[in-house]
Amino acid sequence: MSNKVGFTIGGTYSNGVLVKLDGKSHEEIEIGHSLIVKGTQRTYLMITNDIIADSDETASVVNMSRKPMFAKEMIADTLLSSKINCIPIASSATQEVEDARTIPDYLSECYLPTPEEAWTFYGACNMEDRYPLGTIKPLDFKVPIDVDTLIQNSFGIFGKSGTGKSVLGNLIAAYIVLYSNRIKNSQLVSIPSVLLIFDMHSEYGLKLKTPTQQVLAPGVAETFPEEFRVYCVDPELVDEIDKEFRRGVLASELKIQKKNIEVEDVVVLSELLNISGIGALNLYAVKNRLEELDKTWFDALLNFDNFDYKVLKSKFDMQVITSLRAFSRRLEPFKHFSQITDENDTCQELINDLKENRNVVVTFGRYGDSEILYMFVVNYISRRLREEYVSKGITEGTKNRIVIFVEEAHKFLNPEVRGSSPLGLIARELRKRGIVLCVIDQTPSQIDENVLGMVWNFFIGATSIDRDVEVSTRTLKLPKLFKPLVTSLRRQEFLTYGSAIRFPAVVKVMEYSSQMGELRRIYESKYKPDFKEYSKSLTKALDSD
Amino acid sequence: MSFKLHGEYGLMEKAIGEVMASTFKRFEFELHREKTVETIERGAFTIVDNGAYYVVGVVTDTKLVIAGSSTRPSRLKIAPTEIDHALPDLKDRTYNSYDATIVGEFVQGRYLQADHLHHALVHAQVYSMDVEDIREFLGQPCDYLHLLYENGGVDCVLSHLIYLKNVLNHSELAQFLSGVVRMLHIRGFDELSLMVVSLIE
Repeated sequence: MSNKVGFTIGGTYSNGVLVKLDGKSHEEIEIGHSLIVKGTQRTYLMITNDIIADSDETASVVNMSRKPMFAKEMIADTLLSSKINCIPIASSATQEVEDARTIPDYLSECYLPTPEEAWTFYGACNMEDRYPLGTIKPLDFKVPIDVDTLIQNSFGIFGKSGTGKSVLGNLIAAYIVLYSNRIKNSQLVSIPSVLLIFDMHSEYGLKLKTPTQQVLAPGVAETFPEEFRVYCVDPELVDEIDKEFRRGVLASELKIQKKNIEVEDVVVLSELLNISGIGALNLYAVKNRLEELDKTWFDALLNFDNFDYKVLKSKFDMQVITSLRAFSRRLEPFKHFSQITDENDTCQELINDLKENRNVVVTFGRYGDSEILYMFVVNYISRRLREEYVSKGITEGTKNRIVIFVEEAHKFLNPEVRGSSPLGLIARELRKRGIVLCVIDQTPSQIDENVLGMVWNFFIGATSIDRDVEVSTRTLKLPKLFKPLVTSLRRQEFLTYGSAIRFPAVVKVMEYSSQMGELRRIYESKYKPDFKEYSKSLTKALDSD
Repeated sequence: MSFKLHGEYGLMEKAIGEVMASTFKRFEFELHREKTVETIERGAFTIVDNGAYYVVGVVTDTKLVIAGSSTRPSRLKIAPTEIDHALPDLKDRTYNSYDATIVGEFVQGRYLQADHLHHALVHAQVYSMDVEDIREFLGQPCDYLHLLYENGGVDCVLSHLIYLKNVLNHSELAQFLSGVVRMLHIRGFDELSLMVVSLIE
């Protein structure tokens, strides 16, 4: 395949650069291909965002000719011309590389990049702090992501179902694990990071699956079992994890003690439970009186219909009883959740794990489709985590960073609940205390703008909803030029931009299994904990259980 | 790149005619009378030996010239091949004359197309162009079809291409046509090139 693509014939900065193809059919250039244009004074990095075949009248004449295919061949490139439109991404002059603020001169030669040229713009991977995110099209060049910069702020992985969000999420999680180990094992001044992953479909805690539910490969926790503690919302997963994770992992059931449940933990589910604002207000007002009825106010609310009417009448007026009855009926699913118990609560243990630099996955197993339980658990844990960190003085310093991976993020970060949801508060308040979010969602347009404003790095998979495309490309320099790219992405292809990547790029995410294998090898050779130390900590943890 | 001519253009017995008039755009030559009546195809390449250089032409038109008082031939009701024997006087007074468009020249080992500087000299001998010389002349992107079009119209251009089909092989013809399209595009003759490639068989 020849490197030459064509030459620039015009364009504008705001609408993109027009390149006339020369000796190439437009079938050979894809939307999202990276190209290099050698201008008079600068070399430009560009990304194709449109393909134009506009010689329609000529084609009609040729179609009527005596030998259409012969004629077509003769006039290809001249009368049957094809053009591509390109987004100017970056430019380099001598050693200086910067965002493109000009466009290339007329008739500048355009060609496919060489690895060296791609390196000039995107830099190289070193597997220490710059890890390969994926390859740019059509070259097999690995675009590095600066993990240290990535975890300074929240980042988002967006795209419709089946685009590869979980693959990318697992990969990024693995990079963070490796990078934290590097920090722990070196004299670097940075502080290590720890992951808290709310794993709705058990793809981080257990196995990554294809859209058709076929097992693809182990998730990040199974790849680095020494580094993770898995809390299973689904008790059956505990045994499965013990069986699957050959290297031994600390898997345990997630338990929430009813007496620890606060009114806020339930009120935050108002929208999902279709509870009116008044109903929620009543709950705050009557919490103490509910506590008089049963072991906890939550028990009293769950069993509200079981109490004698006279008893209820003595404590609440009629309107409140009606409201609480409605409330109780909507909480019906909670009666069947074995995770909510009278005895113990593993939430503090989970927070302690995070404080002790142990990554945590909260995996939901068969409860992954229970929206109400997922939201409840995420909110419950997030609230306690926030309280733990807010109660610390800012001067206490941060011993580690926490990166919270949350799927279906819009449920916690939409404009209606963002102000009251613990994750919304964390996003707003705790960045300076070292807690950031990895927001994973299919519909970024439903996430509050203030939260999106705190997202510094975007990984955008294919999405066809205009609002989502618009929102996810809004912070780019020339957003409208990137929209066609987003809609044309394939599975496991992402438009990625932000502070951790030098320039926007369309990447095909690294082949998951082999990359995780490579990361595991690096981990074992460089960072694997001393076996004695490891078994000691394992015994200690088991004893504490 | 320097070329040598392959044809025997200096030999009088190989000459097919003689230049009778010329401008920078075209020349007119009369066919030498041989034993048999000859015709020159429309669109055929000819080359004129001007001494120090050669002028390349493509036949675009023809006419019959009659020397003497008569201005038109009379009906004879005999075969043309019998005229030489039956009417030797008439034989000396009728000539086939051809009009050729100058499309280039060969000077100091180089071919020039279209941007030639010379015209054909009167009484210079005209030769059929050797096939190898044609190939070399066409070795550069063809840039003379517009001249044929202006002098002889579309039919003349098509005749020339049909002539070339018999001279060039398929890939040479395809390469030639690609060059034709490119150069005609530059000169603003897109419609002509579209017509040419659409009509050729």
